[in-house]
Amino acid sequence: MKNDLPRNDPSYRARLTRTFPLVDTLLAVLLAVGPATLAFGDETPQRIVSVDGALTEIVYALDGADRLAGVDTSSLYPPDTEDLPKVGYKRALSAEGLLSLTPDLVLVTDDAGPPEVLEQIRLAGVQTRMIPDAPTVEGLHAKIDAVADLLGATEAAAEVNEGIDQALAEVAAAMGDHADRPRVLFLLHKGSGNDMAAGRNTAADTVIRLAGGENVLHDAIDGYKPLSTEAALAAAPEVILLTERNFDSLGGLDALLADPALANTPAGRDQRVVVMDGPLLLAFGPRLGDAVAELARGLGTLPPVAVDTAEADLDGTAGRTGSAD
Amino acid sequence: MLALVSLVLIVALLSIAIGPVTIPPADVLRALGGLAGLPAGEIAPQHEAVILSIRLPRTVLGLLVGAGLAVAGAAMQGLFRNPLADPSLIGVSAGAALAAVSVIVLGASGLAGVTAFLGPFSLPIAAFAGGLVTTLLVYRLASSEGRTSVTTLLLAGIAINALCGAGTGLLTYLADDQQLRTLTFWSMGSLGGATWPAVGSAALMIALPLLALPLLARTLNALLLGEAEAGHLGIAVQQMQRIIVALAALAVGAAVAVSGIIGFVGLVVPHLLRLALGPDHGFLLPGSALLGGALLLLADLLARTLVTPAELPIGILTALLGGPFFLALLLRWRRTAL
Amino acid sequence: MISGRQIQPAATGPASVTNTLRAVGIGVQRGGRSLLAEVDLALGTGEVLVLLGANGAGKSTLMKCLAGELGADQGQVLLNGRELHRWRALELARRRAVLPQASPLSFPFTALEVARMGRIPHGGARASSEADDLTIAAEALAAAEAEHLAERRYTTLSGGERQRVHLARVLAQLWEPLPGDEPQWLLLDEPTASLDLAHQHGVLALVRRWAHRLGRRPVARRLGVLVVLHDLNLAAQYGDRVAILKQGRLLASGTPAEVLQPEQIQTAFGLPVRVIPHPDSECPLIIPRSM
Repeated sequence: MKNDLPRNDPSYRARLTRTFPLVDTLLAVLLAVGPATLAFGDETPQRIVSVDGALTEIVYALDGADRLAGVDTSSLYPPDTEDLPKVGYKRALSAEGLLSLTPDLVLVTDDAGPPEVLEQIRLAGVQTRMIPDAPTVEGLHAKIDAVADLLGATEAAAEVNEGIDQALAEVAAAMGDHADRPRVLFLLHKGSGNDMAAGRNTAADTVIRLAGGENVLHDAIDGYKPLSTEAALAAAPEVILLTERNFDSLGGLDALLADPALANTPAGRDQRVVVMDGPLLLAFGPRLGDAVAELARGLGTLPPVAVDTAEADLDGTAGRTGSAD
Repeated sequence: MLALVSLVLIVALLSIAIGPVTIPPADVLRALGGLAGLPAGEIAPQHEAVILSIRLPRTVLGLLVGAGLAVAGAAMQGLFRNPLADPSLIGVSAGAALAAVSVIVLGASGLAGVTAFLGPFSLPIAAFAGGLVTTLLVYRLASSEGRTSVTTLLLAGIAINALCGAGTGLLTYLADDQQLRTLTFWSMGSLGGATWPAVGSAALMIALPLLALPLLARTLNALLLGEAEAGHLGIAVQQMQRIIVALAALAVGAAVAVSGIIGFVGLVVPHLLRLALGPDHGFLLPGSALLGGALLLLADLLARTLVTPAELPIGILTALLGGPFFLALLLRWRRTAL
Repeated sequence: MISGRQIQPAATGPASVTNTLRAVGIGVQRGGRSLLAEVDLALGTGEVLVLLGANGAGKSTLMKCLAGELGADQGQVLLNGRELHRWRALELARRRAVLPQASPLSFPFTALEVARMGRIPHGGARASSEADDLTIAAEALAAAEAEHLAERRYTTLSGGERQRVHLARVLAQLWEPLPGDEPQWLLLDEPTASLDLAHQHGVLALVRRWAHRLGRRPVARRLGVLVVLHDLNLAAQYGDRVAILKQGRLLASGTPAEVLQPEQIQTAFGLPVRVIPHPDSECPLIIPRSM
């Protein structure tokens, strides 16, 4: 029996064997499987399945696109991802479906599942890496570095990280010292019967802050939570922020402000509604600088002319921003 | 009955042989042969792993869950003397759902202690316990002075189902976007969690009802005449009702715990067999176990292969497969019976 | 004191204690109302006892007490000398069968399968007994004049046909005599309710033959039959004895000729009648007078 695989954690095996004796025999099989699937040994993975939209963007930004074997349904950008096999929703993965793509690396975030499926993939000898995901600039850097480590692309990562910092710095500089921070309310799925508003610890919250705004619900809620219309009124936002798709499905500005509570907020009275490409706003990936610049333009904290410099400094990835307006 | 046994064997073989990873039939046979102690011969190791640690446990789980749900359904239809009854009437599914949704939504906050203690098994354990506790509650509410009538059981079940539904609704309302998707998927069922430990624990729970309920065929037949009449025929009605409810709750609770809510099997499989073979529980109970297992495996086979490399929720396919077949049989039966 | 008591004290059964199904001073109250009070009644083997009474007089309650379905609040019921609740359910089921007014059965069993359910208390899993059970069920269907219905689905039968199938079921339950010819009991709650005229007489004649050890299947058995009826003339014609309930109390019991008197019937049913001798047999003939 070959046992020279660094990736077969012995403590894991011992634990499984205790739980269920048959696992022992299966592991014997699986240890034999390992070398076949990890044939390139120390080399970088060549067939990657990415189970998160931001991770997919990062792989693209690190020039790893040709190594992607599949992505999940939340991977919508860049548009090329459409041609890749889709492994389904990230919380309802299929073990054999994933294995059928013969990956040598599966990238997941901590909300991927179900846990049994991830375990089966690990058992089948496929490296599965959970990439920590925090909606902060530091978190994004850490995420990019983690992916870069796995891909052997640390130099590219440094470039991407620098590009993000630079873009953010330029936006910040162009905004200057805006004493007046517009109070923004971000609504997700407005009108679907499952209205959600963004609180702190969300991608939207960070993007709003970086763009010179203030999330009106930053102190009130954590994550995305349902919001009553009266609470929306009480929060008194000066700007209402929605995704493009949500805005269109509602039927435009008049339909949105037909909601009497929203219509009576300062934002409603002034008709200050900002609409943004959802994946750009929420993905929290290499295009963060783009997202911040675009929102800042929408909020008026950044004059339109400043945008070009911000975009030019991001490489080709950012140039393909498909957002409107 | 022989036809049903062959059906199960064929579907089980298909379920082991077919999947997103293409494996030559010879390898399938070698892997199975190796399991039976035959000289295994040369086989691609990854193929062997897919068969032995993914497809085989999943096939066994599918048979167990399908059989358990269908037998429990047949027993409930007998107990309630209503061909449209299903195990959800005694609150087991609603209770399991409430517990599962609680873990999904509150797992990181209000129930953090519980989920930290139980780890990845929080959801199945909570669902199983929730189902049994709710059933017990329904039964207690329906009993007075040691007697339980099926009618009060039904009414208590409706009330508790409504309460559990309200709780589940409240939690759904509180859920964030990802939790919402998770619980939606959970409520459509999946056999994706079929690891050997999961199969082992489900087998422990489901085996008892699967073996014991068919032994109660005469009792269930007698109960169809009415509770008083069953008593006149020498059946210890109260005691038997308790046993039947407990066995059905055990089967459904364990099934829901490992595979989420899979509707339709418990309702339609026994009904279908009754139309084809008549209502005698002597045939109906073992027949339901076999057909339930076969139907669920077939649904799972499609769930795994239709949209590869992704997977469809199995609840969609059980309904899609069983529905038209059931309708056709119903129409034919209506023509001949009237 | 009710006048009927004078004719024959109800507690006086026709047979010794161990050979009777007997109610001793039973009373039942529900929701503060008295449904039965101080009822003494004994059913002996070899006889058909008809239970009469107006709606709500307590016939069904008494029947349920005798069947063991309902526990009496006062008094006790003895079957073959032993209190009902001390019998094991299965042993009891081999000694007495009960035909309900209606069954909630709504599943498409064949008539033969329904009749075979009468064999449940005799169940063994042995193949030979399964075959015997099927034979008995078929013969019981024939006895209940429902042979031709054997393969029909129960759910497609008319009310009267269903009634006869259930009769076959309870006959199958008591088909064979017990070891030692221990007495058996057949309790029928309005068995003629949905039957046509010919079948009403057919069914009552059948149970009378069974009680009297006559007929095509001369089983050497000891059997007593209790029948709840509404038709006074059927009671007069087929009852060996008749008992009348009024407001939960036993008004009278005795032979039809003794009990079915105009005053008695007026008291029990509030209906004026004339009673004349039957032209063809020895029983009385009751003719209602316009009110």
